[in-house]
Amino acid sequence: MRSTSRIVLALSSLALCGVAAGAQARSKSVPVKQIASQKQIGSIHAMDIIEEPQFFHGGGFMPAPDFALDGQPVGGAKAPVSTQPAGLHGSSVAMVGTDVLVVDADSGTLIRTDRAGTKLASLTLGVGAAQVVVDDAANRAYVTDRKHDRVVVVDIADGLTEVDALRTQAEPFGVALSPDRGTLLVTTVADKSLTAFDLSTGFEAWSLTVGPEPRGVAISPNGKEALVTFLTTGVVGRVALGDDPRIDYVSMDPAAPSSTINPTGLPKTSDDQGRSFARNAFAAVYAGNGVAVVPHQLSTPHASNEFGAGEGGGGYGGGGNFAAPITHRLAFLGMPDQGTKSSVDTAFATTSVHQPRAATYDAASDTLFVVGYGSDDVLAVADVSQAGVHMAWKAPVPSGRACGADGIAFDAGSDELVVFCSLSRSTHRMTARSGSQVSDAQSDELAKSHLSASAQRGQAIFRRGNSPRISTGGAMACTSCHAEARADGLTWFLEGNVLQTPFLSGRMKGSAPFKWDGTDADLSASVTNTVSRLGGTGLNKQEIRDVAAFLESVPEPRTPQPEEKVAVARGKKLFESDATGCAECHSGPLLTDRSLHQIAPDLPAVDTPSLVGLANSAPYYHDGSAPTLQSLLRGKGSIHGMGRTSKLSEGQVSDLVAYMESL
Amino acid sequence: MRMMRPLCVWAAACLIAAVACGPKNDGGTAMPAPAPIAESEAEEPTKPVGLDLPRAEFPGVAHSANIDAVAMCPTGTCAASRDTLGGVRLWTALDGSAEPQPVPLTSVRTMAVAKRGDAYLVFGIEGSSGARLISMRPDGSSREGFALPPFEPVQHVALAPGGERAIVLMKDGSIRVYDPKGTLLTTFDEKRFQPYSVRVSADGKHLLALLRMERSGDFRVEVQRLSFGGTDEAPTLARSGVPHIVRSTFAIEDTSIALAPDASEVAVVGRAKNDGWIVDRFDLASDADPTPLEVKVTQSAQPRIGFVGPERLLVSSNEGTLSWLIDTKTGDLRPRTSAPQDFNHQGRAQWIGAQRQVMGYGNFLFVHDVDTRKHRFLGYGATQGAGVGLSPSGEHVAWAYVQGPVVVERLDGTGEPISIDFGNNNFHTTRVRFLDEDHVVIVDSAGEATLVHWASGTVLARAGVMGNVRNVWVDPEQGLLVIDRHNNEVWVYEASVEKGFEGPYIVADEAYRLGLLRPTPPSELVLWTLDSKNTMRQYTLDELRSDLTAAQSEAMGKAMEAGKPAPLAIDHLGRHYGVRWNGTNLEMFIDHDGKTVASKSVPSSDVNQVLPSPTGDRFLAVLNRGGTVSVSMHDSTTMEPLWSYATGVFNNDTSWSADGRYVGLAANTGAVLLDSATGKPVRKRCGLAFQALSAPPQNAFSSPNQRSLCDL
Repeated sequence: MRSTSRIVLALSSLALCGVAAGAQARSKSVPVKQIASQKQIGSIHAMDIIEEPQFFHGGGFMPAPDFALDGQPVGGAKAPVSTQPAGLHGSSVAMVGTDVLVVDADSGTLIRTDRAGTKLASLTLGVGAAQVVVDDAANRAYVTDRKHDRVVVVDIADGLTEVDALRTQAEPFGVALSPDRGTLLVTTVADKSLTAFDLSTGFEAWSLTVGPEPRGVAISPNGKEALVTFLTTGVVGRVALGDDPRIDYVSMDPAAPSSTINPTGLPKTSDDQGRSFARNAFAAVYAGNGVAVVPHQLSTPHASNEFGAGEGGGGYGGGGNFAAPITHRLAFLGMPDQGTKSSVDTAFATTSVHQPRAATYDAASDTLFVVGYGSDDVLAVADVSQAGVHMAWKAPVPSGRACGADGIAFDAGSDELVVFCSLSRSTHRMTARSGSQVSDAQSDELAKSHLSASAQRGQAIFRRGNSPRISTGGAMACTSCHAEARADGLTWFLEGNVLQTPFLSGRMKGSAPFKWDGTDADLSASVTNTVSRLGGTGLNKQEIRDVAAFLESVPEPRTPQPEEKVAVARGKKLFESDATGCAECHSGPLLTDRSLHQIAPDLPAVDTPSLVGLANSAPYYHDGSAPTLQSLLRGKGSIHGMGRTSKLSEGQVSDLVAYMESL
Repeated sequence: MRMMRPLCVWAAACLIAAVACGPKNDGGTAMPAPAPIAESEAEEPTKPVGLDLPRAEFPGVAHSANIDAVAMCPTGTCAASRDTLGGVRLWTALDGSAEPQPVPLTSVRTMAVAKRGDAYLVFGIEGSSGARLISMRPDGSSREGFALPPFEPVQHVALAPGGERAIVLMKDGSIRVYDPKGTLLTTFDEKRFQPYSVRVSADGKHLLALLRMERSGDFRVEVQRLSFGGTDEAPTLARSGVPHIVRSTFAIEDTSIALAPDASEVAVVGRAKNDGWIVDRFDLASDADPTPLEVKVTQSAQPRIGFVGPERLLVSSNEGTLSWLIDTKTGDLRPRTSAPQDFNHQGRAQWIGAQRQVMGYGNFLFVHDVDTRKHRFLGYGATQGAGVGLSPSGEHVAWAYVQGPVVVERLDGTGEPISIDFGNNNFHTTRVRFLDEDHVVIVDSAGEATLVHWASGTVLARAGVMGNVRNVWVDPEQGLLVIDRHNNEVWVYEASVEKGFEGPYIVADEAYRLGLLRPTPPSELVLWTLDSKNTMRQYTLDELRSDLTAAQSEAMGKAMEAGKPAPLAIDHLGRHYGVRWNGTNLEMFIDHDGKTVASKSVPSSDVNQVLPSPTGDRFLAVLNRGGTVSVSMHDSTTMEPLWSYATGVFNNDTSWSADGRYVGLAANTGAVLLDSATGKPVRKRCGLAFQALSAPPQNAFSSPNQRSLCDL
């Protein structure tokens, strides 16, 4: 849609509530868009959401630089001589000549538009469809259908015609095409796999088990290696392709704590104190000179200074002198040997792009373009494969409303970028040289959302970065710890407690009370208090309801395919038996009795958590003290005597784990 | 005059060698390339600098940043170190006979090292909690032994002497023992047994598990000895001895608790007392109360301890005062050398064991041999460029080094470089400029300017300012030397071979930015200055000679128009260069007579210096991009960049050749002369040399050992 008349949900609430951010916007002469009247709010439609202007809001700490390289560049001394075709790694948007292919996860639709954004054709897939990659020489597109465990093969010669489907393991997400177009790599989320398909036969060539929560995949220009990214582990999987594929892991987590540990001499709150963890890596992109880039975020859940930590200190896991516990980075991996050695050079750049989620590369200008899901902007990094790597420009996606940019493609023919906004389900074009808007080339809403209007608005709020209403200085968004409404696999230091990030997907509807000690009676209270704990100045009631509506709309996560179904059955029997007593508390559809229990003498009563999606929610216990389900059942966490599992045999533990992972 | 071979120049004058066999590039921590040297010279390796050392057989790689973690072999003959950028080095010898080799591990949190036959094993937990065992050869080649993926997090690792066993403490508290190929030999896993750290005794027969306890007034850790049994192929691991709860008034860290070589006892830094510290000894075979040992170590820093042999405990203060070797049987104290003050890591970056103490000191490794009572600092010194000057013909280049010497050589590489001996040079040279083809002006940091016939070393004249030199200009055509001081004053000399330095003509107009002008009739202006109120002044030579009063100087000022940005530079044509906000975005501009000649949008106001070429057709912009200094050359007509580099560090000096063909850069990572049209290096001066020093190296914390200018 091209209408310039927008209703401003966020700004309206700012104005109504009189919060500081609105005043800042005016004092800094940031153009303030039209503010809705209170009367209009009742008729807000999700697609009309226009957000507050995003900029640094203060908060007592330094804003993140747009692009600052920490350490030495890994690139070469000269511009790369590249023959690599663009766009062989998957994204939610891809070029087909001058046309554009878009995968809209919300509606589960593959859409084709012309350059102006006019819809030409569409193909219905499953909700959650993730990525597309295009073989233009063969007139084929490959789309991961997350819901139906398949890669849909689409003829793109004219329109969109489904011609085949490659069966995958559970929940395919990332997809990449080899430079010779002969092999397709696919990641699957639930089954934690990377699978290669021989496209000449359509058969699986090989499959590797990878770590939890894999997402993006990219293949090097020479086809010798691939990279796999993850949401909840600070590594990039580096796969040596060839006759005997094997995966190695390159760490993105910093080795040393972010600051001096324990200057006060007080005991550590956790071995993780002061440490930072790379999270939410959705994509990897190869540039030239053997350099690849992985956008991600860095979480520091246990600040080194304990004084004033928690809500009172104004920081989520932070200390009295607030340092943003979430920052965003680009990892530069220098791999000139590409798959022949294990040595990898690494460098990291901090960026103000909030939740950098997707990227594309223009080999001709050696420029990388990165989109921010939380900040709806694009960062252009020039000379990205060279020692002189630097920022070329940063510009907002010209959507004029909440965008949720999660895909970007480079159109070499027009020297333009196409950004897909997942919230408005529309595409927007920007010039590749300056980031300015290409007029008359923005699409209308390309598909209808499967969510209610309220849930759509909640989704937009849930992912919003740089908003001081949500967190101190806008450093954190809900998705910072709950990407895809899941969990980051970390424990955070809050209110003097070490607490695991709860898994949200599929667990929110009908599982009240909330929080580990059950202090929040309903979801609205929980969202309100969480925002307060984040240091946010607050959301209004409608926004809280919207976030709750979104959270309740998120479906249960997919579960891995069991290796042995009979083991799951045995485990279920054990789980429900009096011998273990698991089901005494973990009962009902969400596997919770929604009650408080005294499980340890030094703890207050604890709310029974839902066990939905247990396979994806490690570590376990309220404090994350059990890294695996096995260790939980073997008494290695901080809680002892919960259930009656101490006398289980190794086989019974194994069966019980198999069942619990199926929940 | 001294005619010197280039390598001798570096080694003798700088204590820095352009290493022929060269530092190699390293994963994540790129290293300077060797300086360009003729092939015949390349075959002549340079001796290491400092103590009398055998030449290292294999060139190594310096740490790119300060060392913040170390581990030592159980035998005390090798070590591994990690720097703050994550680079890991293996030190196959600790006597300086071998240079450190880069280890292909990424972001290592904890590491262990052991010698196994002719190879060295380095076992590390990477940042993401996976573990990797690397087998290294002395020549730096490596292969992976085995790796544990990060999805079952590893808490701690250790290696037994000889490397035959790799001990892994998993985050769930289980202890796994592998052979170097990754075969699981045995597991120790008891319910509710969840140590946070584990260490191996020097005899390899025992482990010590440390279990954290809740704090109750003091800090307490439960220690439990485990002992190996069974066979080499099928070992077993079981509890042995008596568990103890050790206490300290300070947090118990890896370096404040020590295990005896035979695991018979544990020592822990307990508490401060009187003028020293109490170290408690616990007998692991009995439940007897600990035996206190009193040590005279200053209370200002919690000491670090380690057993260097049976019943021999080294207590180190890590703040510069003496260490003490304690006989734990008799309580006798023997003084030992001071560990250097550990500014950054409070003594954590050290390891004590097997007769030795190793510790990070900046990017150097401090090695203390407890038996011989000697110590040394192992690391690399870097060639650091202070200044670079080009002769009017563009045939010669003069390099000034932070370490002192000035060397002149031909741009075409022919002939011998000449090191100028110009008498006492007690202070670092900061700038060198050609007055004419045969003479240079050298200015040191104390403010002395020396006019030298560079080919003979003959000093023709000296003059001086009172230090605080900010920048220096020499205009050969006008015969002017201008010295800009940080005090915001300008000293102008007329310089000539015949008359030496005439002046100074002191301009006290509070200028913080200035430059030379080329008189173009009818204008006779030679100098412009800009003060902090944005008041511009321009002077003729006659005015400078006239000994201006303060009032006269003040009256000459002309305020910049309101809203007009101060120029970063003015070229000899009188054109102003700068950065401004044009109402829509930031732009670099060139203005002349108040009118815009050219402009170009820039992403941010990161341009902090502009250096127009003498010919006016190009200019060099120095940019501060997120902590990284970059330079970019621009066409003065189109403003488009011709080339750019991230130099990485602050540029000490930048200068042009008179014809605008070349531009020279000098930084703490070396110096380089570039073709201004293409950015291609014409001459380079960078390099590192391995050093073993007995005194703390001055450059340990400042020598960047980073990607040098020569890598551009």
